[in-house]
Amino acid sequence: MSIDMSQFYQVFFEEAAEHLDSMENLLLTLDIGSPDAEQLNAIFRAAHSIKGSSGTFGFTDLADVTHILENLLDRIRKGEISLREDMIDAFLAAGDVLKNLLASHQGDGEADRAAAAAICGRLRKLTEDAAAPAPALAAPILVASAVLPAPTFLGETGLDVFFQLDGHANAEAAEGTLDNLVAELAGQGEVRIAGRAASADHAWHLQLIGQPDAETVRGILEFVARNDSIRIASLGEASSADDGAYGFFDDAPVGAPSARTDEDSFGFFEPLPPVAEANKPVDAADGSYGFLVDTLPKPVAEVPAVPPPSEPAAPRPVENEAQHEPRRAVPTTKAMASGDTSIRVGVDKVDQLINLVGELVITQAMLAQSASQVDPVEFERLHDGLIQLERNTRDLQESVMSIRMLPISVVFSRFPRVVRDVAQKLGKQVELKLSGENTELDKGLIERISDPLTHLVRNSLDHGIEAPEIRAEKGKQPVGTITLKAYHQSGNIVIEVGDDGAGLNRTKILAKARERGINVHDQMTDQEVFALIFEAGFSTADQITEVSGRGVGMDVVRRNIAAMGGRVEIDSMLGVGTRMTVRLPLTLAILDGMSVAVGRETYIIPLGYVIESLQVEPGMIKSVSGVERLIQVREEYLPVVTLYEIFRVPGAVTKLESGIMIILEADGVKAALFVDAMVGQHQVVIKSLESNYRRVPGVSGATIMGDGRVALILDVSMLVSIARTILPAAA
Amino acid sequence: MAQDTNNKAADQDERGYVQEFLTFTLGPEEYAIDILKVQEIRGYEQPTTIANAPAFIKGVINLRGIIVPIVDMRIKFGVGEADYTPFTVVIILSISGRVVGIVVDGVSDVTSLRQDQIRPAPEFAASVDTRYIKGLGTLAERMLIIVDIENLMISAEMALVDEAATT
Amino acid sequence: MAKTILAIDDSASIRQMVGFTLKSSGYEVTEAVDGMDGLEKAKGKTFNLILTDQNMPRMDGLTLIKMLRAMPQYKTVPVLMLTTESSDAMKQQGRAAGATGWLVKPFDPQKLVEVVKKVIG
Repeated sequence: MSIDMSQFYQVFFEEAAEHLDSMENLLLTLDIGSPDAEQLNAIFRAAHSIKGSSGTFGFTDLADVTHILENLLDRIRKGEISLREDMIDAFLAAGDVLKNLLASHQGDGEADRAAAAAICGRLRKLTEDAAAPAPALAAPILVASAVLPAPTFLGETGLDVFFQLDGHANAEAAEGTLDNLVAELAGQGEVRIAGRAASADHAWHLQLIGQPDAETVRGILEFVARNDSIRIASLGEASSADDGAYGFFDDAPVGAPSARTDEDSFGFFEPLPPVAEANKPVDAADGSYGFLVDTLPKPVAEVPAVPPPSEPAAPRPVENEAQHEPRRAVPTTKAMASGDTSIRVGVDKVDQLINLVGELVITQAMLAQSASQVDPVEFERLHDGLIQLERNTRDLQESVMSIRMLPISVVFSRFPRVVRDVAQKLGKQVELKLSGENTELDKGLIERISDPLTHLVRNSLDHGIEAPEIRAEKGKQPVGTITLKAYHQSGNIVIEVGDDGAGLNRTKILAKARERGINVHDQMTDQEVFALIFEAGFSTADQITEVSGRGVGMDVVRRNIAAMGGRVEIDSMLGVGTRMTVRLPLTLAILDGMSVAVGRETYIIPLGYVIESLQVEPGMIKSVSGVERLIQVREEYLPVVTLYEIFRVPGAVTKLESGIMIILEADGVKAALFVDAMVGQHQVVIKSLESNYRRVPGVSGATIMGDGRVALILDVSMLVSIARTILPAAA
Repeated sequence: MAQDTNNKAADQDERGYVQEFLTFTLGPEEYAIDILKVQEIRGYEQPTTIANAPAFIKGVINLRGIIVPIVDMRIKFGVGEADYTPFTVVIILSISGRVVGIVVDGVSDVTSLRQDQIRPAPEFAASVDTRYIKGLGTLAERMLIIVDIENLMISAEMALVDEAATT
Repeated sequence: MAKTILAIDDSASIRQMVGFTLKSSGYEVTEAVDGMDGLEKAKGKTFNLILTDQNMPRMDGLTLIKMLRAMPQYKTVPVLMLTTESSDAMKQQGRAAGATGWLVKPFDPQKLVEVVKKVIG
């Protein structure tokens, strides 16, 4: 029978990624001075689980790194090594390496083998250093136990060699013998220690990579190994039946009566080591378990009768408890037992469902429109039915959309790490506060908001939060605070990135803007001034730093957010702090829109940008250089954008007094959009114009109206920016 | 194109492969396109105009929930009158994963042409680049202008695809 | 009638692999995500064989085995531990808990079937 293992890869990838994420989160919340035992266990288990499954599915590079990682974690959780800050750093770095390896297996980028080797060395060194002060008896063995089975990469040739050393009761002597043996075998190829013998009863496993000659190898081995214990096989083909890969306890229940008699042909029924030998402390032998033997061997028959809580006290009661008590779920990790209540479905299936519901909404709207032309009294039942249909359609749409909704915590969870790393690099002390992590938004938005938010957070760290000395001088707490907050507000999701740092300096920004040749004046509102930092090529930092000055500017952040149908605003108070507020629609698929008519065309304006609409009255329009370009709305002069001109729509209303002005605000800038008439407000299903056509300036997408016709959705940011270019210096 | 013709290998004789074309008229001229690129044929409906698009792009329509651009070939090729009657026809094409509608005066029929019935197009000045004319087909008295519709539709001159996507 | 196996592992990929492999060999497999889940599923019926991971959240494999052995219908049902190590300590713990045998991870599907066949045929 052969099983195609690749069918399990996807599940493995997802599972490993989840483990890495939860490991990182746990590491970041760990109290280094007195780490929580549950958390340490959970971190260990994450590494352990990745090791187990990656080995099974043949991802040896992952298995190798997690093996060392797990070893060190295991000893920390057992209290044999105390946790240090530099270990957390190394664990986080190991997580990064693992993510890279994982990505490379998924065909996403190259595996950084050098980084993998480096982190293995780093972790190994941490283990050795920490172990050094330990009692002399344990130390050398512990060090040895951390040696990693060398990775076997696909396509390598060579030999797997198993053997038991001849007559070495003590591990140190065995190490010496092995060193000589490895030196001897080196002539045959690259030697890797793939498995160390835990005791003299166990087999060593070496791998010889290259073109070694099996007979020569056997000859070398016969000097030091028990001749009957030597087994040599082609690399990767070794049947591990007699290498201890599995076995049965001879006095425990076994169903098949033939089991014991198979011994000769298979030789894997490895009896337990004799008690005399086992009475030595074994906890250090391979570094992964910490029990003393004399508490354990008991007649098997007795054990079942004893319920676990009344187990005899072990020498290390705390640890014993950790081993046997059912573990509470660590609050920051997802409950594992959710398997039965959820199903995994491909995103394409969900999207297809959403599309179909979108079609249904349109069909329903078309029916409603047709029905409005018949007599409601005569066709009462039809009317009632259609009203019911509308309600059901909306409910269905909402339910289907909710399938794609994910909590923002998916994005927020990366920030503890980002803040930690960046703060460390900048020599700042920062505390991160998260709130509203359960606020949901569309999966597509989650993926796209991640980078802009990261940029905003980095910006706050870099330009907002001051160095501890400066904060102290100003009478602030040396530790700065960055707040990430998410909540729903009138059909939008709002995400705030706040800091209690230096705040934005209006005067400095204006000066900088003038220096950059940006059109500014002193009467601009604070909002408008602050919005200048989103201009291309604008940086208020006195020097470009490694953290935020990386070419990707705040202008890109604003553009990306706008591309999602969102906007970003800044509030700031000098010396007190800054708050960036990102507003996004809950989903990319549906939009609350206002429909307007221009000539024979209908356009949709996303409602989020609309402040008000008004009829032009005499005297409101001011002309600049003979062209009617400004409208006075209360105290403000706003540039007028005439849609019929920009889109060259024939047959439109051209007299400003005869149409409607829609006051829009985008990116902190207001403008008045001139249209023929307002038609109504709708929820519209957003369709891509670009799947069959090209991008159209001023248009962000399309939708299908109740009559089946296509209406274009306006790109308000773009239109407002056009307004600014047509506006001569307003001052 | 190679595999399209291979599909018809059963019809092959010594005079070359046989390929099926949809023929349509633009004014007095008769054009032919690979039938395998045609998704459906429907009547003309007023599209939604797209701002600042070339004149031959009439706009976009809703084709069962998909937004489909409509190109008037009469304007693009500079043949015939670009009037829209209840008999004006739109051929919906499926090309490189994109859906595009072309407006023509009328669809004639589906015609099989053997390779030996197709002559290379001579160099001539036309409103369409001769790169997109694959040849001239002869069918009794009729001359069919065989258009490489796929490459024409994704070409920069049709302005249907973003520049970045064509390069 | 197909022999029944309860496979317990917190790793979904391993669980799938074990499940798929054993089902392909004609066994009837029930999966559980950790010791607690395993115990819950074991209570309902008597499986012919139990395969359990050691390190799992909520309840580990050793604890599970002890709990199972306390249940009358599981006194003699073979239990194999799937473990990443084969140290003596592990074996003693496993034996003390009442495990029948062990299988070291990583293992390949063939090996799994080979061992399972040995135990329950």
